[in-house]
Amino acid sequence: MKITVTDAQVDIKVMVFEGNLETNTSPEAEQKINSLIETGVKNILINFEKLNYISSAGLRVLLATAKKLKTKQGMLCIIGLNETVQEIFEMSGFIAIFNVFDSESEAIKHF
Amino acid sequence: MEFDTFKEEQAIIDQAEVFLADGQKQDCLPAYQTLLNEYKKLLKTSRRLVRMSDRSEQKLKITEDALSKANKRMEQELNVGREIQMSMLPSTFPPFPEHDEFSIYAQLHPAREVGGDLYDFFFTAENWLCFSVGDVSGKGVPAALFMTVTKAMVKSRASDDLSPASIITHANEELSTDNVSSMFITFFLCLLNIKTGEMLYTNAGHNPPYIKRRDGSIETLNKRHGPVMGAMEGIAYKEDKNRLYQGDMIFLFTDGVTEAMDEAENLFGEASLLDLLKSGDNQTPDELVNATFKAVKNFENGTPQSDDITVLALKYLKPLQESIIHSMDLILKNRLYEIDRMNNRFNEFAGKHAIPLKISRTMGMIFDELLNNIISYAFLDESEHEIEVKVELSGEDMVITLTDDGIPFNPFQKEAPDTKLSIEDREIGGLGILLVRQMMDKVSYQRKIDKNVISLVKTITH
Repeated sequence: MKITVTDAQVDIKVMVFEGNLETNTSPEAEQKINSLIETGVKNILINFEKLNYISSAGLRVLLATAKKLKTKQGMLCIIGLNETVQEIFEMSGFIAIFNVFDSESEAIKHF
Repeated sequence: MEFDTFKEEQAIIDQAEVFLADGQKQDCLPAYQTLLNEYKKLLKTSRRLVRMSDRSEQKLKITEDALSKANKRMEQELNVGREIQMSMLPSTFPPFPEHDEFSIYAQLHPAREVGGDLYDFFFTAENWLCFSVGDVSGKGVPAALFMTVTKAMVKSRASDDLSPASIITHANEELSTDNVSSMFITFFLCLLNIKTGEMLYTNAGHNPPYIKRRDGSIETLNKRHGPVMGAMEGIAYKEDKNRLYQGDMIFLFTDGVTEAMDEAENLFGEASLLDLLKSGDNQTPDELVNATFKAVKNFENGTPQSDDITVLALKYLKPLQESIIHSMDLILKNRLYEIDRMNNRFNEFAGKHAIPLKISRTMGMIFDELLNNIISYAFLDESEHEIEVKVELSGEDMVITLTDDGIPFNPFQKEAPDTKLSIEDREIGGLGILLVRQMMDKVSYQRKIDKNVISLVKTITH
């Protein structure tokens, strides 16, 4: 899985995940996210436009990330869900837990 | 004092006796004496006859009362018998409006005295329709009850058995054991796969049904696979195969049709029935069944029906589909990195057979969840095991089977929480399986001796 990190604004990092967030790729994703947080990042915008699907392993990472950022008075926002990922979020009830938006601009307003 | 019908006659005798006692009439005495004796005998007999007649009349009255009561009871019994019989029959038509693969219609006209005919149809497994007709040997409430029991035995066995021979064999065993009545039932059972038109059937002493093919030709399903049911235990019934193609109609009936009689006691007969079937009219099951009853009624011409008449017709409507099955088979090692290989292979397969992208993505998640579970929990050791994954695509249905030789492990069962995991981790673990359940149309687990087998079904609508 490919992960690209860019800056949206001064204190918001955008992470684009390309591929699948699942059993084998979640550890890597979690590592990357954690190293960002260690450098002081509080706000992360995850863009799933290029993500095929997410499994429960990936959901676990997202949940852990959201919690970590909250303790640092920051937050996690997510955009770019495709039909499958949207369905997974809805069926798991995570759509209510995470901050999901339709566009980057909308998400940024929320931070 | 007993009333005497013969007062006058008695008076004559009294007078004669006085006359004879008079000594002056001595010479005519013997003749008169004889006459008098005969007359007295006659009178005695007459009196006795009158007394007997009175008693008879009384007895007759008692018998008439009893008969009237018995008659009323019998009428009730007939009604009860008929109610039992008719309430057991599926009578909603069309019974499966959502199924356009076939059309079915049936009717039963009971005789005045319930004759114990039956018909039945129901789905057993997915896509398998079970239908039947039967004819119990006795009459009245006992026959109706016997019919009810047979129907229940067959249906119960059929819920878990796709072989007519096996169903009939087991049902017969139940019926025959402790069957103290001398009743038995002729029975014809058919299982039809509505997706393919394949048919399996067993005939237990019943009159053979007909198949009218689309081109108009008539086939008789002549084979008999065993004796009537209920008569003897320990019978192993057989079965035969056949196939219905689009436009074919199968026609089941009881001998009430062919043995219907007119005033001159002629029988309706097989020939008349065949003529009716051969005629170009009556293209739908409803039309054919109704036409049969009409023809029989016309033939009977008012003669009361002596036996139940039952007719069931089913027309197969599904066009032949390429039942070509596309499939792929993959053997994986029980290592997490193998999940990638699974997804790559599946995506390849999906591309080849135009499986929508949404489905491949979903399957990516499904494979990740299930393989993760199996690899993590089905094996107690670190050694290499094999996991076999099979994907079969048939028409609109995709069936995925995962087989492994690990410990008995059913990921769909609520497992005991791993206390080493934090609360979030535990909940999410169960969540994965929940997602699998919700995204697939059907999921199931079976332990086959030494293997775990997980089956998933997804109907793909393009």
